[in-house]
Amino acid sequence: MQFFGGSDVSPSPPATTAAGHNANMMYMFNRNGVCLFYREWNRPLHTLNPQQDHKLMFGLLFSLKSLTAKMDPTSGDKGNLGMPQLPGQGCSFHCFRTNTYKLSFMESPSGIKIILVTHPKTGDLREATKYIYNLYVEYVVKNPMYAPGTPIRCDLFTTNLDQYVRSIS
Amino acid sequence: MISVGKIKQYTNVLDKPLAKGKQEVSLSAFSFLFSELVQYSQTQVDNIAELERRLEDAGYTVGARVLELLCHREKGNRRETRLLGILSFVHSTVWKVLFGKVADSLEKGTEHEDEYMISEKELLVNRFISIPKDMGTFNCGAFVAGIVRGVLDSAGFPAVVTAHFVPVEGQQRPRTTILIKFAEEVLRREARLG
Repeated sequence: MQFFGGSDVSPSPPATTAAGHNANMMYMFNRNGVCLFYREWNRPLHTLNPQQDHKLMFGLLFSLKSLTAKMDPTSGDKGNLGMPQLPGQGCSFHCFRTNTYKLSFMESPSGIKIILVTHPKTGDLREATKYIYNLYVEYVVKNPMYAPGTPIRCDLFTTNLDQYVRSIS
Repeated sequence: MISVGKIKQYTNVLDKPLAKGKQEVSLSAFSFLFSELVQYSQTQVDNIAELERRLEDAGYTVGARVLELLCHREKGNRRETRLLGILSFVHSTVWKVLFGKVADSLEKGTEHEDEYMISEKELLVNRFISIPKDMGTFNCGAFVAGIVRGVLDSAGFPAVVTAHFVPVEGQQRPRTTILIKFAEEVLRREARLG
């Protein structure tokens, strides 16, 4: 599996501000795997072309979700590994961390997945992803020019998102 | 037997007192409804100009009714006969009732005698809407322009009302201006009244 984000040679953290966490990039997928939104603020290394990148990311999360649900020691009934899961089923994993980056994940009940890749020292980003989901509902879903299931091209959403991410970095 | 309080039954619906109604409406509910209105209109037309016209016509019917309601509720059934009177009525009372605040500004046009402008930093209906680049100058504020046109028309001041984006330096989102162009007869009548 190819992990991306940051340089491979020496993990040098991006220029940090006071809080110490900087967003590198963000993905949004819907429940069919269509990449609704991709935004990068700080990504020194590009390894794959965008389509492969998105497909790989979606596949990774799909498998991880399935795996974490099956390995859950507290829940009783588990289906076979590989069976697709509904958005609320099973335990929900919310982040993984490597030495160069941290990936935070949130899935809404409607199947919208939000992925934030940030600096490894970042704290818990669940509130941040919830806020981004709120931004999505306000500026994308309520926009009559947006057809659900297509890539997001709304200026208001991008502007507010950039503002918010800059404010938490 | 449990005694129930007697509710006064009105035999004639016209005798019932007009209810003031709830003063608050959910913004989300309105946004979704308006979004659906725009999407529905989009399926019925072929080009942008027609879409704007449809939104304006929808607003026109709202405006006509709003005038009747507000004349009864707020102004004690008085009728506006002067131009400035009806303009300030639209600018403050109508805006306050519909959007919860008075409009940002009311200006007289400098180039033509018959032009007036109501501007707003951001129209409530446009708050969640971002227009894609390929739609050009389309403005969902055409709905609000229709409301203003409905109010003016029913009050006896026929006018052509349009909504425009006016870019402002220093701000990313352009301001919205509702341009009101009165018909000839209105100006003549106004001149006659002195």
